[in-house]
Amino acid sequence: MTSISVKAASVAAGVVVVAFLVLPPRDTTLAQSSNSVGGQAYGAFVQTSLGSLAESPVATLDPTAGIADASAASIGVPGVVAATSLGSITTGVVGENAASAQSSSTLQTVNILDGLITADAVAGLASSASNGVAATSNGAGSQFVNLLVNGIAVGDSPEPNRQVALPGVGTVTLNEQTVRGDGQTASGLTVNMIHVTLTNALTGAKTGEIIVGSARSDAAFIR
Amino acid sequence: MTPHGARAIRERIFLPLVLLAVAIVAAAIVRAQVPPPDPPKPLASLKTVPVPEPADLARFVADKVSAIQLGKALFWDMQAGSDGVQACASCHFHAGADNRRKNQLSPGLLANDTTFQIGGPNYTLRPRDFPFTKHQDENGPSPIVSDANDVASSQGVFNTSFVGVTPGQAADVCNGDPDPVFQVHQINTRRVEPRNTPSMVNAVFNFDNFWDGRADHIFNGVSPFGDLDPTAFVWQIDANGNLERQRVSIEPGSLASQSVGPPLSKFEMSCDGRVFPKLGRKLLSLRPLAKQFVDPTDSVLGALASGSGTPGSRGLTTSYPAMIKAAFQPQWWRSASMVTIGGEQFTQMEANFSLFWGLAVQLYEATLVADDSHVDRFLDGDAAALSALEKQGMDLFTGTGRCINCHGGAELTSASVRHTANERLERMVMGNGGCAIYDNGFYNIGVRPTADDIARGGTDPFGNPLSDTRRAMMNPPLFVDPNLNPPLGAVVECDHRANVDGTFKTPALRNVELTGPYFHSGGKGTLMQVVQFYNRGGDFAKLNIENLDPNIQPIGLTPAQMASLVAFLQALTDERTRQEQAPFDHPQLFRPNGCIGDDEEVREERTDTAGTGHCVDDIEQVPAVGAGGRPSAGIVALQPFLTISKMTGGGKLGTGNQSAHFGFKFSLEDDDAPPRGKLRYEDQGQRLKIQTDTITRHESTETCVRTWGPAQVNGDFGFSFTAKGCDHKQPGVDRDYFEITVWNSAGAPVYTKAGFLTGGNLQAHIR
Repeated sequence: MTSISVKAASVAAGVVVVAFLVLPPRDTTLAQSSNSVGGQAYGAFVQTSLGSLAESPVATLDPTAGIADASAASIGVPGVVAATSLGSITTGVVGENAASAQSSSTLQTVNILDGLITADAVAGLASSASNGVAATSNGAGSQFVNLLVNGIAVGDSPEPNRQVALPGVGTVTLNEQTVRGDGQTASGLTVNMIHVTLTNALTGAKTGEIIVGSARSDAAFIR
Repeated sequence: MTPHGARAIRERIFLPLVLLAVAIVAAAIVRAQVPPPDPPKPLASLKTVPVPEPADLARFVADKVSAIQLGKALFWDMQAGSDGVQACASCHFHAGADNRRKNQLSPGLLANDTTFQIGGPNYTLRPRDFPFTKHQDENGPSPIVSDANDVASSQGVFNTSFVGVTPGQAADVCNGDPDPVFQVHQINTRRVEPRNTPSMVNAVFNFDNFWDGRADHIFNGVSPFGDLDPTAFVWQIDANGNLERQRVSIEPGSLASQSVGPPLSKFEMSCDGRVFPKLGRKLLSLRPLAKQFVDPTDSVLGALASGSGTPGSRGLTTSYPAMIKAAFQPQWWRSASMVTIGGEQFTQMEANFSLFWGLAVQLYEATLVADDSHVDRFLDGDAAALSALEKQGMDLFTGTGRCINCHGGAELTSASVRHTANERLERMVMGNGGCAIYDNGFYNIGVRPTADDIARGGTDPFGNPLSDTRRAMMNPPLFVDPNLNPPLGAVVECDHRANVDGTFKTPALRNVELTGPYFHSGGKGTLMQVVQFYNRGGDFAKLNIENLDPNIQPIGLTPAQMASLVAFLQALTDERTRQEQAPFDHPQLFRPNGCIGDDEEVREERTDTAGTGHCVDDIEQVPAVGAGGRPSAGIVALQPFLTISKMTGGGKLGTGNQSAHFGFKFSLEDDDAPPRGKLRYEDQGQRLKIQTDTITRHESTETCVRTWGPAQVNGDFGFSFTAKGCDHKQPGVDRDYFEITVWNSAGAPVYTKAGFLTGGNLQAHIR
């Protein structure tokens, strides 16, 4: 067993203790009001037995303002997640002929679960646009630098929703992308660059989650 | 089956096949007979083209520099208009064109439609009014969802009848007449021309001018109509010292022909019924540019500027008679004898005033050559003059886009002197098959239904066709093209069909970024709308098929390709024109911007004319600039017709450790309001965070905005930045562009990064 696996096993043991933790539902619905934009970006969200962290630093779009940002030099939940140089930006606007929104979350020196997952840098981007005829979203630009999972390099641009098992811990979804909308008037996308789902090794029940590098964008426009 | 039934089926099958075969063979024969079209003229720098000039200029002009001074003074002088307001420049003040939005609509007058569809006579155009013909999908062939035959053009004068002039007074004596079209609750508004105003910059390279080419390449000294105007005479002192009535044919003289049209037009500058000798009588009694400030560094008029050009001083230190005497040969002005015209006596100088006006304005306009655009520099050999996007656009312009087929050569138009002078007529296989003869440089491209405006298919005031093709087909012919090979009549299929109705002069394209709205109808507000028009194969291609240029077919460009084509068109701007630097500097101008009020209510003014009153002008100033242009005068550069008023977006530049992320917002409530915005920018690799909530200055086009202001870097004050964002449509990745440069308090650049977005999007809104 490698040293990393040892660490993973010990973390998993701790997580199993809170097998019945109740998790709040994640909001992935698209703002349905006509001609609207929405956006949010944050560096990390943690809900585990070892500690919790609300979305932070979080930037949430006020459509009338057009731009929001937040930053932090570092964040950390000991043993769960640590990162530096966090920046979150979201922008959006409803125009005469179209609406668009885009969000980005960037972090550096990311360390999750005591080295189980590491990256020199993480960038999550989500971009949505609608002109009432076509509505599209994309996560272009979303990227890792030197991503290692369980000590193994998995590439800096994994395909969307790539899942990697974390034995004894749960699973991690890399470049998780959740799309919304009808493709004509409305479109939305949430990109979570790292989404760890912690599970009870015995029952398989969900016991916690960690999200790093999250960006959400929504645009709806009706002619 | 009966034999009869079998025969019927055979006929049903075979007859169409036979007819199809006949049609194919006939078409093949036609194509075999029609000489293949000339290959497109390759692009070249305009610096390679000599400026056309009349061969016998010295017969008329004694001193060209003085003539140019006279021409510039006449062109910009507000006293030339019957109302003492309207100058030539009143509609040619913005890169030679007109970017006003209020009181600029004309109903479809040339189709006998007097009903406004978009807004009333004093309406202010909005971005969402454009394009005037809207499609379900603007990018490709799709049904029209709304259409208006209104024309975005230029406001001229109120409807009035000429009575006379009072020497020493700038305004003519006129009677106000009721105007059934241009009025708000029976209060007259300024009348608006039925075609959009073209720029006079580079117009010297056009063989004929005006959209329909009626400004003949031969200047007859009096009117636009060349040798076919039987009433055009000038007066010269003969060898015995007597005044002799003469006809003159000055060639190339289209700019002169053009310039003598508007001063007598009851739409543009004149009370109805004014004649040139009367205009001469008035102006010869007035100090040139007496209402206007002339910058002492004006590249042409600076030495003549009154009061050393100090603010508050007006006009020139000389007079029009003195300027004419300095510019023209004495046999055209020196006689003490009087000339009788229309039963009234005039001096020789008054009688020949149209000759002076025409030649002087032509020589001035011939100096307005924009030949130093980025594209010109690239074609001159500077490979760095164009960006990759602009080069991609140029490839489309000369290739898939087929733009070069009509906009070829250094002049970017097949209506140029070089292209047309010896190739007046051409044969062309038409969009609906068969072939026809047409006037070189004039095409029907389906902007509006042919019946809306037949343009080149029309006639002059004497009943002669404007079209060389139709003149050549007359019996006896009014025109013979000796260079048409084979000669007219030799290709039977073609030579009885004139393709001239609804054809318009192909405009040249330099500075096109600044000269919107576009086409003869002014119905496209942005270059992107123009490119979309061509990409979908025109707006009325099917309706105009009889006369349609066969190049007008759906092209199939992607949004990204269209964006690159727009970038190329923007690279055709000569920065001297944008900045109004010499030779594009000019005197001050006060020009109307509609009436005070809106299209529902205006105020009446009844002081300067008898009869029907008119609305109170909303007068705006175009500031004087000297040779140094707008930067020297502290004025922002000329802007496109519709510019970005808002841009919001963000995303990523670069990849991996070298990437940067940003959010950007810019907004401008109106022209007089300060710009507002925010920038959040973070370069991860350099651990640099730049932010600002203050934008102090901006410049914008229809696709890009550049901003300046103070900035914080990693929380420290004292830095300044410039950021430029370009929206080239969704999605923004690999298409939208962002660049940023930061300076420290000493003015030294400390950071710069630029490139196409690797993530995110920028969204611009024009107004």
